[in-house]
Amino acid sequence: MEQKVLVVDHEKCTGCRQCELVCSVFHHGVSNPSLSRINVIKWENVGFYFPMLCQHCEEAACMSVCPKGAIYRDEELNRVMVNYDLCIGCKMCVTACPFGAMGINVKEKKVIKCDYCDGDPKCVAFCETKAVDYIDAERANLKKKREAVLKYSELMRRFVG
Amino acid sequence: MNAISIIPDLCSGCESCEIVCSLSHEESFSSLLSRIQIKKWGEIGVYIPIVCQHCEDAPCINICPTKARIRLEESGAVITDEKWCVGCKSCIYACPFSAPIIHPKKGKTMTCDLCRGKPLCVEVCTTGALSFTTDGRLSFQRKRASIKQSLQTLKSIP
Repeated sequence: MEQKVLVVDHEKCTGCRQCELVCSVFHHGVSNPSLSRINVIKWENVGFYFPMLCQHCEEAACMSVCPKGAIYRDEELNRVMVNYDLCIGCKMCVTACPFGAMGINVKEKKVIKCDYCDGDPKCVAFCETKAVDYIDAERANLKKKREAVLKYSELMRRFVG
Repeated sequence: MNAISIIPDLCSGCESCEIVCSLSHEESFSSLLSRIQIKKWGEIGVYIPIVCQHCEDAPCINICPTKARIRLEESGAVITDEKWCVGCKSCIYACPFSAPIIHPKKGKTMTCDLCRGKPLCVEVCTTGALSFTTDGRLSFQRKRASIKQSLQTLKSIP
């Protein structure tokens, strides 16, 4: 089965934060960006916006650091999930994640993270500019490859003829 | 959701957190009386500060037979009520980090109480290995740092 991944192209992000709203509405039923699993980190003075979300690492730091083994890999959707029956809320995963992708639901006192919306990410469905996209893992780097090939072929044309 | 967050990579093992903790709580300079403990592997240069994480569904509260482990309402800290603690050490076994410390003289357990919302260990930590976060702001700090780091790496590639 082909594995799908969520890829982020920060150059396309306009910082509208629509993804944050739909994420929190889908998971919690309220439009509250602090309950969102995706967060647009902004540097307004330079106009730089970067949507941050869980990378579902293969050797996940959150998974290794969890003292209760509450974080597991769901092979079917290739995602990292939290088992809330085992979670004791020690927040070690929040500290350990190098991307800060593990969020905290302050009201319910639980850690929250991206779960790919069970295979149909709502942030992708609502992103106008497709700054976040849910595509096959093999196609994730296709754009970069194409750019590299174009550059290479141009060089070849210039020097080899 | 208050907690002291630890970045072990930054810890130099200087023990100032232990000293200030023991000074403020027990009025002595002894790392044995500190509620934060640095575990050291000196030969490989690994230092990991261990302190109570004030878990939301804390195993120590669930296991304590005398209900001596309690959560303070205002700071969210999980502490031992010395009046009820019988020193059975169940909380140490239940804790995945072995964070509770046995007081050498009283024989009762003690853990971090977040210094009434202003942890002194965080204030004296010079390397930034310890930080105090409230309201889940921690993950946002990590997000910002991670983006900055990846941008620097990208820029260094010609």
